[in-house]
Amino acid sequence: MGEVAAAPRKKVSFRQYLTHLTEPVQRMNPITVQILGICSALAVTVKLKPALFMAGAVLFVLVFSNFLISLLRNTIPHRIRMIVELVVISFFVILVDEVLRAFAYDVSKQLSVFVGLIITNCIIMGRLEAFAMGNKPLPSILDGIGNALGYGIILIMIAVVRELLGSGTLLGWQVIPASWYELGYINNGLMVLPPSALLVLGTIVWLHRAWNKQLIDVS
Amino acid sequence: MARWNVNSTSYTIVYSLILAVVVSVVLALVAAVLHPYQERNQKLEKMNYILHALGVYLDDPDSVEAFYQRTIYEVVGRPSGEIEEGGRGPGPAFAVSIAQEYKVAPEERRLPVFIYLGESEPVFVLPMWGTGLWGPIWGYVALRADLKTIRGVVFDHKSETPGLGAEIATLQFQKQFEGKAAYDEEGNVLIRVVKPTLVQQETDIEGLSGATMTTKGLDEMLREWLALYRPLLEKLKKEQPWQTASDVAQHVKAPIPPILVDKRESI
Amino acid sequence: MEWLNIVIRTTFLENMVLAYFLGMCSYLAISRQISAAFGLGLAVIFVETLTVPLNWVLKKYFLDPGALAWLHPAFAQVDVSFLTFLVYIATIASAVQLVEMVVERFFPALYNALGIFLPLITVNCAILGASLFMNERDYTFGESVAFGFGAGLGFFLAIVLLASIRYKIRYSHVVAPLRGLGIAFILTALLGIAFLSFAGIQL
Repeated sequence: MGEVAAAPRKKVSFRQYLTHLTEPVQRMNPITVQILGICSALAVTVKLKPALFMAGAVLFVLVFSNFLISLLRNTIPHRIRMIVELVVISFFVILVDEVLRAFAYDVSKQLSVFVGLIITNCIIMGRLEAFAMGNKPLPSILDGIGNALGYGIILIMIAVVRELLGSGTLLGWQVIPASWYELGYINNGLMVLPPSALLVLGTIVWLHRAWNKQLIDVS
Repeated sequence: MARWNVNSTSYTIVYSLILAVVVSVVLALVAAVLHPYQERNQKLEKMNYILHALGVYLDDPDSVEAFYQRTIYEVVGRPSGEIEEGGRGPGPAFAVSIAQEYKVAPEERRLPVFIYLGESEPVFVLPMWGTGLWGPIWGYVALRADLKTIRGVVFDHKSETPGLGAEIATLQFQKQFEGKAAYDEEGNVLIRVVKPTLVQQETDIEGLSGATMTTKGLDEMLREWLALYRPLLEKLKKEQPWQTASDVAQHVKAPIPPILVDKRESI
Repeated sequence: MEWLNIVIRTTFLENMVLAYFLGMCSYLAISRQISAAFGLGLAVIFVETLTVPLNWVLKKYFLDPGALAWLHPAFAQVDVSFLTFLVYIATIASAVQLVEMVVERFFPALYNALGIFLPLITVNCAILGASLFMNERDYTFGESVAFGFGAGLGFFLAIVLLASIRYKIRYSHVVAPLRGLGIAFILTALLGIAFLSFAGIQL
């Protein structure tokens, strides 16, 4: 679970608001630093299109549940806190699922059970517990956007690598020219298989930490 | 909110009740509003499978529905050859879930047949369902009126390996079936899907290398269902139930604009 | 032996962690120590074997379109399947809570071993994932028990494996930025590739 419970501040400058947005994208990235929300993310990164929809769905659910929980934060009985959070998350996830099935049928088929698994995406639960329960609505919205962006950026990076190397396309458009195939280029079959997502993610973590030395695991 | 004790038992119970009621009412409303759209998507998906097997590609949902209603006559039969129901599409056969029938013993299945009447000769579209490597696979085979030649096929799958088994859903793979003989003169199933190295007769389909289990599942599905459909097809060819059905007489006679284009990109 | 087949398939071929990436968060976070991994794995087996059949019953008699007909014929048209996610997660959350209380009361030793992992399980995607797969695949009751158990066993196996490997490489010279999380990802990928070789085995 997330460990960055920001203490409620008295006076908040615009700059400080902005850090809610920027911190989770890089230094506190939910996936590569906090190890959250990896579960449902990786299986939808074979192609860029479902990854984009997944990122969008998480953005929607995270922002709205952060906002709602933040609004309700003083009324929620402590004992059923987790259940209330789960109900709120499930509520938005069901909304997303219903809308996708009505207006983006092909994408909803590709995402199949992984839309439902947004409920147990630890990023959302983690942010509700660590942030929305103790902060006002506006910072909560910004925090939601920031974390969803941090999540989405990693998702899109993985999907771009996998679709480009695995299928030679991006969003279904042929990117690698046909002439290359004639010269003997072949798509990397490993990239369409599930384990490659972890290889790509491992590499991203490596590059991220090589660039930002503070994040290196000392244990 | 200090007026109430937020952690008292009664407050907790009332709170959870209100939450449950509000959430389920809102969701029920949303579901009710969106349900027609979701149903239409599923209907269009099935219609498109059938039309794609025939080689008909229409972009616009309304024209898919219109074309389907004008040209398809549906029949539900039994493996014994008995015809149970017939009617204009989307009708009796459209409601049959082939996935559900697959679970029943073969001789007890209900067999839906979609008959395309847009041309001088009828074309029979036969849905089927089977098991690949990771999950279900399914398909629609369009058979010409000689009850032998395949006009076109559509296959799809739930979760076959991308790049290997999933290739059954590509046009490139499905093209191989066009013009092949599904049955021999006696009505025995002739077509086979085999390993690329084992292609022997002219009617053999070259399976996918590296996807042995999917290829095998596809072969089993085709042979099982084609054998089941045979008696029904012979009966249909002999009796031609669509000729006598009053409600379809008109739409059969109506001239059908040629929209048979081959423009599907590989999926 | 259809059931045994399902157990073996879900444990090895369609492993929750290595083939579907479910339960990754706790998988990576708890695999630093073998004993902890062992405890979490056991808890997951237990909860999955309990919740998948439980959700199956709820699906059959409450959620499926027309499933409420057993209450009154007038309910035959009612379709509450839009509540699926909500009902499943509620079942899981309450089952976990219940298990926690029972274990604490009657098996204090086990509670001390599992205690801290039990609440974590509610948000373990492998648990909800198993119920959602059950939902999609139309299992019978017996099959859903087998599936729940197999899915839990698969998670147990994967997490104990990873914890053991991480223990083994403790003194290996891993490039600094790759230490910890990075190498765990790569190890999991290699494990996943190894598990892929089980594909296509039919019993």
